Amino acid sequence: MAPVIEIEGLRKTYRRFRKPPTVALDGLDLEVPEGGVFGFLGPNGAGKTTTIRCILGLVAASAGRARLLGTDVPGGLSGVVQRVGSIVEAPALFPRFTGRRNLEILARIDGIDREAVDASLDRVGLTARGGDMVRTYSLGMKQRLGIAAALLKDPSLLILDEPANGLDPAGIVEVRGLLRSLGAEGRTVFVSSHILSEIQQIADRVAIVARGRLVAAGSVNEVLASGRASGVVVRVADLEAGRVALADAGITSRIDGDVLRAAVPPAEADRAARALAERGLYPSLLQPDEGNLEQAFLELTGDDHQVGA
Amino acid sequence: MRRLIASELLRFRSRRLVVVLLVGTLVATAVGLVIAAFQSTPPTDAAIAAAQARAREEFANCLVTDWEDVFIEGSLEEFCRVNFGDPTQYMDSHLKLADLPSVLEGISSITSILALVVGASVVAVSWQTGTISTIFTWEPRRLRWFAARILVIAAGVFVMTVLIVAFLSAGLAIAAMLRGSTVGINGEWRSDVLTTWLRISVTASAAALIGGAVAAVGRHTSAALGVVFVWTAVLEGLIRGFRPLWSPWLLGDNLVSFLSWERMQVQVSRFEFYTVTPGRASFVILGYVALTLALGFTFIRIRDVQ
Repeated sequence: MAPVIEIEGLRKTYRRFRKPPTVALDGLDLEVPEGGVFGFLGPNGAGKTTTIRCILGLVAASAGRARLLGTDVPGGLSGVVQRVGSIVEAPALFPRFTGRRNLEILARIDGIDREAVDASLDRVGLTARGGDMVRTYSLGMKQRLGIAAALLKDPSLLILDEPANGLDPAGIVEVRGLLRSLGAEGRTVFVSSHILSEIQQIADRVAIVARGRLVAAGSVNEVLASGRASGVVVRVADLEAGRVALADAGITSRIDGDVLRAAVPPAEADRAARALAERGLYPSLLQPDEGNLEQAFLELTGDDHQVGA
Repeated sequence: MRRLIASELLRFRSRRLVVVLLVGTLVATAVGLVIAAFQSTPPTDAAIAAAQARAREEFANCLVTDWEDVFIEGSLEEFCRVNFGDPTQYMDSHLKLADLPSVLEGISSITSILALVVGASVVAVSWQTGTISTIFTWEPRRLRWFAARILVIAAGVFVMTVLIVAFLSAGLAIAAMLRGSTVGINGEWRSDVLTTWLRISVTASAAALIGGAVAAVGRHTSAALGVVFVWTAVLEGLIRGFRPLWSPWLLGDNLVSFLSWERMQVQVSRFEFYTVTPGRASFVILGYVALTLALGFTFIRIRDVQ
């Protein structure tokens, strides 16, 4: 399948008055395949939103090349923008217009009829509030209206920047379900987020960026594997004694909460079990350390997650 | 482009500011007309007949008077008709429909300021609310979008001004018929009213375009209004004082000449005057609009949308 987003060596530098320039993107490479949900992860200030702005033609890249649905952007953007729905950061809509009027104004640009506006509102559960001013909406409702606006074009590619921002748990679950169903329809849903558990639950593939560069990309499992040392998790009654016993057997480990994370391949877990048993420490838990995306993210991005937006 | 214009038109007429300004101006006009009507005492038929007789007499005297020491621009007949042949000047003060062109010229500053606010606000609001990023993800051809918006602003403000002037004219006509006089209404007056009406509406559109273009650069309504105010009220005053030779190119002087459609003497040095003609003034105003629009288009095209 041809990639729907291709980015090569994308660079964006912001010049600042009497200050050194800020490098937001530093030669980013990225390929997003067609179909499914693609998670775009990175700490604050990593360049996620700048990447989205670049591919949507909102900011001009300093160098590099980007292609959207097989077309060079921003030059050819007008030819493909009808097939791309997007939200960049918070959904920006007129607060003093009704939700429906906001969608109608956008719909007119592409000659989209009123039925599509109604269908879009219905899809995000805003039919009953469509006649109310947007300023009376909760953050979650605004987010859903933004998604409704993005869906108006019946896009083959959806680019959503932090779509779960500001949503309550019920709203997050709702959006998660919506994104899953959109991905299952054959659309490509490109979601940037810092809520890693969300991405882990919905994405088929992910990419992680840090300091404007790609640090990992692939299926969620591939990225998990690239982000952590394979190992096992062990729980024993005396964690410190267990750590010493493993160290004496040549196995590095660290105490993590109520478990020990040992740097030994799962296939060789019997080595760890034997070392512990020899000291009278019988594991109540011994399993492969599968980790999670959050852990992989922290390991891959180093200290970048502490950088402010 | 047609769809873009339709979208911008819907956005323009949905703006609360536009509706509030239009309704507010119409209400204020109605209140002003009611007050003026109540304060006016309609002249009697005899007073009107006497004034008409006197106007004829003064006009005839004027034609035979020796005006050797007076500079008369145009024909003597025109000079006498304007200065002595108008019967309304020989009646007691009251509401006169004949004054409508002057009244319209008087409100032009108000309609121009309102137009400036509308133009600046309609453009700046997209930056202030951040909706500019939403718009550009629907129409990435920025210049095309800005052209559509500017077109809608110019047309919308033109229609708004036409409505305000129509309302004022109709109201003044009714008030004059009930509580004043309609003496002096003739074909020339009608043509004067129509051309003044057109000039006011065109000026309002030009003000809205300048406001919109400056707002595209400044991205904020108050910034745009501030810049236009500083230019017209402060810098042009300084230029008149320190660089009088540049005065014929100033927006304010040219607007006065255009709105009154009269030649205007502008002092360019201690002993020299420059005559600003209405035709030339039109081109200078057009130049200001074109220049600010060029700036607006440039900024819209190159600026990153954050």
